[in-house]
Amino acid sequence: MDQYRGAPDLDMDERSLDRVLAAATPVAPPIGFRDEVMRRVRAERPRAFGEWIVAAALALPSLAYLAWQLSANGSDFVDGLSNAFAAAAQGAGAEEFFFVDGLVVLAVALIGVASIVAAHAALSPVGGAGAEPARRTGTNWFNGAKLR
Amino acid sequence: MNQRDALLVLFGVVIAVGIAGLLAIGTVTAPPRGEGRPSFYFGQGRVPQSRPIEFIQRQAPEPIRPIVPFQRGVSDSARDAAGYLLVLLGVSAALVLGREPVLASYHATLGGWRTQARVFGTGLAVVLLIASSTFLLTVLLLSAVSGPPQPGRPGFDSPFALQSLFLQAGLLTVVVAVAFAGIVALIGVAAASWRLGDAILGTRFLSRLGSRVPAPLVAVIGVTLIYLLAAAPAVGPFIALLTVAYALGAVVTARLGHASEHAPALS
Repeated sequence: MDQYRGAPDLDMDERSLDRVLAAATPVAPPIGFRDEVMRRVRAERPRAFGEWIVAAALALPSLAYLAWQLSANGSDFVDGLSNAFAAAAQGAGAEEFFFVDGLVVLAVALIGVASIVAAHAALSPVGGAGAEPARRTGTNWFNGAKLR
Repeated sequence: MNQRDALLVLFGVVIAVGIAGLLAIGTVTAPPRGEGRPSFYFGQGRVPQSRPIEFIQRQAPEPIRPIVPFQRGVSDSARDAAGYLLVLLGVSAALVLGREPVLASYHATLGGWRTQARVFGTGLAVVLLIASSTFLLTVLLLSAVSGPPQPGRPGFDSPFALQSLFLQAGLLTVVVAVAFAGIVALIGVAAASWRLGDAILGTRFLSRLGSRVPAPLVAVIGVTLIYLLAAAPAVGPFIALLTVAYALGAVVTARLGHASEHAPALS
């Protein structure tokens, strides 16, 4: 049995295919071949358009709600923060009370989530949400690279 | 965009529309200024009581009256879940913005019990190293700026302003170091959450479903479980410490583990 001299990290069942591919004579592709392939890949997989939709759907209502809160109850926020800074400077005691509307928390959290989704869409080289599906075992959902 | 991606986008949009509806109901049923609870309050007086749900329902337009109790419940739950939302945001941000270190850390945790023990032991060593060095630095800072000056001490004969500056600079250094360790731990927690989600969805009963679950959702499942365990009354702090240790161990193993294999021996 001939000794395998290919890549050392291949499994046994991958080596036969690697031998076949390695035996092919290397031929330089024509000039512009790579650019054409990449152009087709980008055309087939639009850049995370769905992620931008989700990000906008999450962020816009939350921003509108927070804008309404600031316009309607902005003084509550200013007074509360002033009291908090004053209490921090004097040493806050146990007699301080705190309350925040849960919808404000939810809206701020949604803006954060939308920002992360938008960042993922912006940073994805191709595909984004349409990239190779996330796999628990083997394929990384960011760029389709093999994990092991 | 394949069918699965379209479904995910549709799911996200439906969730977003639902939450937008709740926010809209919140604006419609908000009390007039000066009545009911304020949106944000911090002070020494007690927080004003909220208006009863029945009263809000009577004031609200007819079509949204049945949804008002649900909206109130979501609002209360969101306030209580602020910590969880923060952890979720941090892990998500680490997965997206720090994908290379997270992937490397995740890769470092793949393996059997020997690998797990190695990662965990490394993390415990890092935690103990950080704790001891932080304590010693604090002792050094405090001894330099307190008590009468004695020969041979760092604060000997230094004016008070200089001592104060030294203390502030030292504390700032500690804060920066802790923040750096926190970022490293966050990257590790993201990888550990992903790994834990892997382990859960890799069980025999869930393996068929697990292969279809996107990796970010796997990490969310993992971090949710970690958060719930860390919030348990008695064992919560212990589990949080173990999680941070494992996370730091994953990052350190990913950063130094492969390099040490190829590095020349020190002796």
